[in-house]
Amino acid sequence: MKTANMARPPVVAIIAGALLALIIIACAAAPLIAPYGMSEQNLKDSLASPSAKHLLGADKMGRDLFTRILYGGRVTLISAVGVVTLSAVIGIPLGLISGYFGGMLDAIVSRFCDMLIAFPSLLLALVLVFAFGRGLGGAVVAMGIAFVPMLVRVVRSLTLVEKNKTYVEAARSIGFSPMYIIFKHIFPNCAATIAVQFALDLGYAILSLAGLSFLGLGVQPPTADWGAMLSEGRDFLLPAPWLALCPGLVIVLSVLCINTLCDGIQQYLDPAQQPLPSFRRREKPLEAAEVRAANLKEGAARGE
Amino acid sequence: MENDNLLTIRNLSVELMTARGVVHAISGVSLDIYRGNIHGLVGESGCGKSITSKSIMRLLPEGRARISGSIDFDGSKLLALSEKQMAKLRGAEISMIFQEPMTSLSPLKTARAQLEGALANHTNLSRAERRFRAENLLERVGFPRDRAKRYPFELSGGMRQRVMIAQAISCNPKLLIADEPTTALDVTIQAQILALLRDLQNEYGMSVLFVTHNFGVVSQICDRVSVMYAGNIVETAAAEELLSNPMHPYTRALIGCIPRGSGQRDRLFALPGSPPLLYEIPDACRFAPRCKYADEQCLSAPYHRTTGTHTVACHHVSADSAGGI
Amino acid sequence: MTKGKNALVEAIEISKQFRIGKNRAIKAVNGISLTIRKGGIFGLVGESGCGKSTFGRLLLRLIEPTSGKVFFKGTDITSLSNREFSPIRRSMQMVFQDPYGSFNPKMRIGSSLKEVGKYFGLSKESVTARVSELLERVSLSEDLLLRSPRELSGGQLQRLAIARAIFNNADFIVADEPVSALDVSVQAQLLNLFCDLRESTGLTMLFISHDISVINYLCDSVGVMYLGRLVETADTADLFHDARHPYTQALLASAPLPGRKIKVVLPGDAQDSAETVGAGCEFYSRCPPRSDKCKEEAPVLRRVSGTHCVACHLCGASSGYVI
Repeated sequence: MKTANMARPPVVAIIAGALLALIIIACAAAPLIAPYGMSEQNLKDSLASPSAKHLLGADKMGRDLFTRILYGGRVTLISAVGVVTLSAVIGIPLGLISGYFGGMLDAIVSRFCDMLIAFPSLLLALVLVFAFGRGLGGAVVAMGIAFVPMLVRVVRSLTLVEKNKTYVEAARSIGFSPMYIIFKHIFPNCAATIAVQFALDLGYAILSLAGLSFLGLGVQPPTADWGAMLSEGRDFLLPAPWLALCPGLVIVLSVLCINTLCDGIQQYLDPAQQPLPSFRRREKPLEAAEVRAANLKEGAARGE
Repeated sequence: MENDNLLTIRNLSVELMTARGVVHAISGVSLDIYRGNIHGLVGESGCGKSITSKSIMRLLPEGRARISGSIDFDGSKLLALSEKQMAKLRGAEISMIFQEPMTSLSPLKTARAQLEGALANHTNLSRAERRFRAENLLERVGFPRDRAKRYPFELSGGMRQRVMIAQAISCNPKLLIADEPTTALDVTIQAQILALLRDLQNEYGMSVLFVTHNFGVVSQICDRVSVMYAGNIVETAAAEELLSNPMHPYTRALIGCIPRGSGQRDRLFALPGSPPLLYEIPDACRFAPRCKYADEQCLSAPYHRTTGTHTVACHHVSADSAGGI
Repeated sequence: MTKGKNALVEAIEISKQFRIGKNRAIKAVNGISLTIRKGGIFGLVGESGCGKSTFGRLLLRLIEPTSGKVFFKGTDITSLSNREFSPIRRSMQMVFQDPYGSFNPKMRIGSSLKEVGKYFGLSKESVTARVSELLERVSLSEDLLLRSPRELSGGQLQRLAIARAIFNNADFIVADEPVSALDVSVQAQLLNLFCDLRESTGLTMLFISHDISVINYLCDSVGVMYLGRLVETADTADLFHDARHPYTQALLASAPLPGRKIKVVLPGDAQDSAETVGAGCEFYSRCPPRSDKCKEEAPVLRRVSGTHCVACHLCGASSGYVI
C-alpha cells in the first residue's frame, strides 16, 4: 500500500549496533590489527602525541595507545559479559521462583534484595572485592553479585504479571509441575524483556568495572583495561590529554551504543511502543472510483 | 421521509490504518435514525458496528482512520464540522455510553461529582444548581441516594452503568449512542437497564442508536434494526418484522444460532467459515462464501432493495417476493 | 448427601474465603455440597461474582478450600499431598473462558498440544497419533499446528483448548464460561461440539455459564448459585418448567430471547445483597416475596421432589412461590 507509512526502521539503533559490532570485532581481532604488541615498550616515544606512528599517541612507557585500547577492550568486554552472565545465572532463577511461589520464600528474597539495593552497587562491589580479593576475578564476581538484586526485581515483577495469565493457569490445570511451568512457560514469555535488561546491565558492567579498575581494585598492571588505562592517563592530563581521553571515549561510546541498541530492540519487541502507522495528510479521502461505485449502489437502492 | 430523520448517514466508509495494512472497516453504510426511535445495530465482532457509532461521534483516531461519505445530524454535516464545533456537540447533543463504564468514568470522582463535572462542561449553571441537578439525575436513573458519594470502583457494574447513563442524559441529548451497554451485566441487571433506557427515551424524546450483538436484547428495546456483516449493512427493518421474518441469509443464520427452548437435543444451526478480512473491498457479495444460497449472481455485490419498511441487500431476495428465498 | 454409586465428583460443605486486606474476607463459596453424576453435563449458572468459577476451581483443586472436602471417584482429593494428587489431576481438566489467553503465546499450537502427551511420558509416535485423532474430533485441520495462537480465531483456539483437555482421556472437565467470549455463530459450533463429545466419549462436565439459554440447551442438570451459595439444583427440564427459588425464577424471566418480552422482576443488585446480608438468606434484600424468617435464618438446600433441591423458606415441598 502506498498510503501506508509503515513503522520507521530504527536507524539509530542500527547504527549503534553496527558501531558496537565494529568495536567488538576490532577488539577480538586485536592481534591481527594492532600495530604493536600489547606491552611493547618504546621509551623513545614516551608520551608521544598522536601521529602516523602512534595513531592515538603513546603512554609514559612508550606503549602504543591504540594497541592497548584494542587489547584492553578484550579484557573489559569479556569481564563485563562475565559479570552479567554471573548475575543472570543467579538472578533469573531466583526472580522466577520467588515471583511464582510467593509467600515466605518471596518475602525473604525480596527483603534481601531491598537491603542490597540500598547500597550503591559500586560501593557494594567495593566491599565484595575486599572479600574476594583484588584483581580481575574478584572484581567480576563482586560486580556480578552486586547486579543480582536489580535483576531479581525485574524478573520477579515480570513473573508476577505472567503467572496470573490464563495460559499459566491452564498449564497448572493440565498438571505440569511448578518448575516445568516456570522454566518452560513463564521464562520464554519474559525472555525478551530479560534480554534487554541483560544488555543494559552490560553497559553498566563496563562502567562499573572501569570504575573498579580506576580505583586500582580491578585489573592489575601490566594487563590493559579501559578503566585502568583511564586511571593511568589521569596523571598526564595536561601534557598528554589523549591518554585519558581515548579510553574514556571508548567507554562512553560502547555504553552509549549498547543502550541505544537496547532501546531499539525493546521497541521492536514491544509493538505497543512502536509508532502506529497513519495515513499521510495530503492524500485524498477516498478514491474517486469508489465513491462513484458507492453512489451508484445507493442510487439503485433508492430506486433512482 | 428525510424530515423524520434525526440522523442520516449516507455512504459512510471508514478505512483504518493498521500495522498490517489498510482495512476497509466499513464501506457504503447508509442508515436513517428516526426521531424518537430506538435503532438497533446488530452484528458479530469485527463487523464494523462500533466503528459506525464512533464515526458519528468522530471519535476515531485522526490520521489512522479515513472517513468518507456524509453524516447529517439534525441539519448539520458532522463530518464537515471543526473539531471545536464537534466538541460542543459531543456530550450535549449526542452522547454515548459504553460497555465498560469504568473506562469512561473518572476513577477519582464520586458518582455525583462525575455528573457535576459533566454539567459544568456543557451548561453555565451555578454550583448549587449543578448539585441539585446531579442529585435529580441520579434519582431519575434509579441510583440509590446513599451511594452518591461513592467512587466508581466501589460500585457494581449496574450502578456504574446508571451513573454513565445519568451523565449521558444530563444535557438532554437528541441522540444517545449506546455501545453494548448491557453486555457486561448480569441478566437481571440487564433487564433493569433496558427498562430504564426505554423509559428515558420516552421521557426525553431522544433517539437512541443501540449497538449490540444480542438479538434477544434487540427484541426488548429496539424499534428498528440494522444488521451488519463485514462492514456492510445487509438488512434493515422494524424490529418485530426483522425478527419474525428475517430475509437476509446472514440474519437468518444469526437468529438460528441462538439456543432456545428446553430439552431440544437437535443440533444447533452453525454458520460455517468466518467473515472475510477486509484488506480490500471484495467485488462479490461478502456473505457469499458462507451462504448456502450463493450462486453466480452473488459474484457481484448486491444492491439494497426496499419493500415496504424492509430493506435487504441480497440477490436472492427480490422486491416482489418479499418474505423469501 | 449420600455417596451414590455413579457419583463422579462430590463436594461436601466446601467453602472458600478470600481475604481482602487485614481483617475483611469475602466468602466466594459458602458451604456448597453437590454431587456430579458420571456421564452428562452439569450446568452451573449464576451472576458474575457469585462464586461459580471459584467453585469450579475448588473441584479441580486449582484453589485450596478454606474448609470442606472434594471427593473424586471416592477419593478425598483435598487431603492428598501434591505428589499423590498429580496422577489424579490428569483425569480432571479445565477449559477457560478466554480462548486467546489459554495458550502460551510463545509456543506454536502443535507444541502446546504435544507437550501434554510428552510430559506424561507418551512416546513420540503415540503423541503424534493422538494429536491427529483429537484434531479430527474437534474438526480442525493439521496445518494449524504450525501456527502461533495469535494467528487463530477464538473459536479455533477454544476447540484446541478442548482437545488439550481431553488429551489424556480426562473423566471430568470443568468448562468455565467456554463460549461467553465467542460470537453467537461460533458459540453454536462449540455447543454442537460439546454435544458430540458427550455422545462419543461419555464425558462428565461441569459447565459454568451466566447464560441460561446455553445451559438449557446443553446441560442435563443444573445448579443455580447466588452469592456463594447453591440456591437450587434440579434436572434441566425440571428447573426450566418448575423453578422454585425466586432467584431462579427471576433469572429465567430476565433472559432476553428474540420475540419474548422480559420483565424487570428483581430490584437492586448483588452488591445490595452482599452489603446487607446478615444471619439470614443472602437473597433477602432483593427477594420480592421475602418473609421475616428469611431475615433471621439462612435456608438450607432441601429436597422438594426427585432430584430437585431448593434453598428457600418460602418453597414448600409441593409448590413454590411463583413470580
